[in-house]
Amino acid sequence: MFAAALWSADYSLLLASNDYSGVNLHGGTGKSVANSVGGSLPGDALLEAKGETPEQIAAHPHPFYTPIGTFGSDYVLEPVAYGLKFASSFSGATLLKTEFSTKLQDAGVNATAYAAKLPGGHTSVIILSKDAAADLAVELDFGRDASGVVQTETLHAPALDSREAHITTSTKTDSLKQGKCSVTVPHATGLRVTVS
Amino acid sequence: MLTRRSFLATAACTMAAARLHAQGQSKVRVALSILREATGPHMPIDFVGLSYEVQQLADPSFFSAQNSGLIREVKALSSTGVLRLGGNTSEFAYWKPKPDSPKPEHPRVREVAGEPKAQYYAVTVEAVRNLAEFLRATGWTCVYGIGMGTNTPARAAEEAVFVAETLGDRLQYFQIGNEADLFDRHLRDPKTWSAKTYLQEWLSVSRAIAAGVPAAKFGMPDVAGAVSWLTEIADLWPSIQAPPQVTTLTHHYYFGTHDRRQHLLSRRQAGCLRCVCRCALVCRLFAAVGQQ
Repeated sequence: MFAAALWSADYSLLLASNDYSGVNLHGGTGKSVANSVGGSLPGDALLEAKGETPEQIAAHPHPFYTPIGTFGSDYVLEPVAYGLKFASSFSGATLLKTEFSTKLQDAGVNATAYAAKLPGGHTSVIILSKDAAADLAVELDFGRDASGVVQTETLHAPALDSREAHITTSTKTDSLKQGKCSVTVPHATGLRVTVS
Repeated sequence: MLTRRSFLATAACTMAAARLHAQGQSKVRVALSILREATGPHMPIDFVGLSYEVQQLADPSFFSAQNSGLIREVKALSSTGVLRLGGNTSEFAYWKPKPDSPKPEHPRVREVAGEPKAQYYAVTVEAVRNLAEFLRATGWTCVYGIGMGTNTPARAAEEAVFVAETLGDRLQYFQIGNEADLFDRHLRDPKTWSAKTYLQEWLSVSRAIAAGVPAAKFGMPDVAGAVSWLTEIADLWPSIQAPPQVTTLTHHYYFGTHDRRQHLLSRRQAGCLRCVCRCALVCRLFAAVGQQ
């Protein structure tokens, strides 16, 4: 579900900001993952306990968690993989030390944020709202002398429990004004702001 | 006792129970000031990765140049990722260098709920060759897991030689054993199994591999949750004569087992391990998430 995308983006960036060199999300085909835990998936047992029929259970993707789902001979990036992809926009970058996440959470929002200097020299900020209700209005201050074009990219889905995820680059651009820009981060959404 | 299976079931329950609240219209205003100087950690270009069971190699067509659907999705995720092969099933793989190579004798293991059954499967020359083609097609590199639980140093070395020759620059390093901190459940004597006995076994396998592949690099200890093993190993490391080349420290994280920050190694711990391992050592995390 989409909540997993916000989790994987946040967790990957948390690791990166703690000097980790990488993250490998585990998954695979239903058979291999089931064999790794004794031959059956706990998710199947949960669905059976909920009263689902074998046919209904078989209709669920297997395994229940995997970054790339296997459906016969088809493969699909699951929401958790979209979060990883969203975070990977910082790959090759140098992170900026911030207290953004603390500040957001002190404001009462279930959100985190990270900033980085990209290999090309541009500055980028990722804000991840896992909040189910509160939208965020964020003023980003890049410094009085800063200037440049502001581009945004969004990690989104209809709802936290949607079984889909999307990364959309905005076709609209803006400019910094006195080094600042204001953005809205809807609840349950990730936003990347890059100044180039 | 928290087993892997009970954890996974609990995590799945938690997620299933997380019914979402009605979404309101409130808006919270926050101002964030971005520093100009980037003084934080560097995020490597190959930070992103996936992890699969070694048993996936039992089907040589899965990681192959012919599996265009999987190649497409892997490339869509990242053009420079790292494919890690390991998992619980890696302890039940055996190297089969020739089509007529016999299945080796395996030690007795205990059947425990939540751990793989003792169903052994072969990793073949064809599977490794196809894996190399898959990696070239995706642009990814590989962390190659070799079992320790039911393997022998000689078989591990024979497999490693072929893997190193075949994967070439696509191979980042070898990982020996998966979640060895849980071996006391089904693969080793719980009375004696520890970070120290693990390290002794790990050295016997890694040295056999290094004898066949002198440039071999290793990641370790790949623990499920006992990150204290890293510092225990660090304490033991100075006593090791001519240790194999460890380039990466690894551990797993299971969503829901503990506060997400508590498992993170502190800078003091990481610094200690860097020093002890005598190399530019950084920690890569293999995150195995619940709700399987």
